[in-house]
Amino acid sequence: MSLEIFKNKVLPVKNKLYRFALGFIKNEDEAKDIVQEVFIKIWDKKEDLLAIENIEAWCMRVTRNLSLDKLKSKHKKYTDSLNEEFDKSDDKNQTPYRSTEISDTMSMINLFIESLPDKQRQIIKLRDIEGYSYKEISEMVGVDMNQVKVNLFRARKAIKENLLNINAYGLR
Amino acid sequence: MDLDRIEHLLAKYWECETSLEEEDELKEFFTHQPVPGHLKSVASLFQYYEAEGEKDELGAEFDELILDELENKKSGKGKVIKWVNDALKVAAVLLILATAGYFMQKEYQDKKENLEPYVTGTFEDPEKAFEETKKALMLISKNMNVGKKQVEKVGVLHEAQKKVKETETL
Repeated sequence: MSLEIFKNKVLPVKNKLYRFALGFIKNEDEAKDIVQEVFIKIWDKKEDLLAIENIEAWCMRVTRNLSLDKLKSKHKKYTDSLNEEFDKSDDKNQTPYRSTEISDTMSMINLFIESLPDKQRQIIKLRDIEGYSYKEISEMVGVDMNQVKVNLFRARKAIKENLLNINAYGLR
Repeated sequence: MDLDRIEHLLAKYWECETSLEEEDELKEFFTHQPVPGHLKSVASLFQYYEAEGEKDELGAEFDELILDELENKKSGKGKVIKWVNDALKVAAVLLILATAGYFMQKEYQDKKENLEPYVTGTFEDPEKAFEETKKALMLISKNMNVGKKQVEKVGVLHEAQKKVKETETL
């Protein structure tokens, strides 16, 4: 794989990888480091990569593995991660940038999706934001297709109910 | 696009029966068409999905960072620099050890040379041997003199005792 192909085919996936990693790690700098690591790994394996049919899905899998590794090593120093977690939940939804950028309803939707159980949140994001097929998602998350569908169904159902609530309170 | 189809797709969407293409159709509709009141909040949902997916959090700066790094790797520059760095570190440690070893060896040798004649009892140079013997004899005589002084004191005591005894017998 040449640098040109890498630039045009692999690098544009960066934001998807970043969001995926952020879902695990919840720390923007560390998620960025992970994406960087993923790209370097891909470049090191560029000869094998020609044989892989879905490079994007493969990159997502590498991102997941690295994120989980990082989480595991982070759990050992749990006092640190506890503090960071508190910081995150605060500024994630309340930065002026975010609240002005998206409408009230959208920020409520964001809050609600972030509060879903891990698996549901991960899967609905991969499907509805990133637009992956069930098969791709099952490979990326490491669960079977049935589980993907069940979790997606639950997440969408919860969101639907939440939207009905928003309507009921007259927020439009 | 007619609203009936959208309502139909939406119902399928909630049941997770839509294909990716149909979901794209929904996204497209809700982000680009005027939406009737009762669908406003659903529209927000799809607008949210669209906006999240379009976000460019890492930006062009990140691209440059990665490409720079890969360029370094490609030319092998990074690797060579790393190798040289490692080699230099090893060399520095070896240099320190060698210098320390040299000085320790030297110190040990000096000490050994200075002490050797005393330990084995032989001097090569007769002059030096004479000097050393003189020094040794002087040391002995000095100590003997110290001892003699003490003995003299005892002698005085002895004299005194003798005198006391003589006066007693008188």
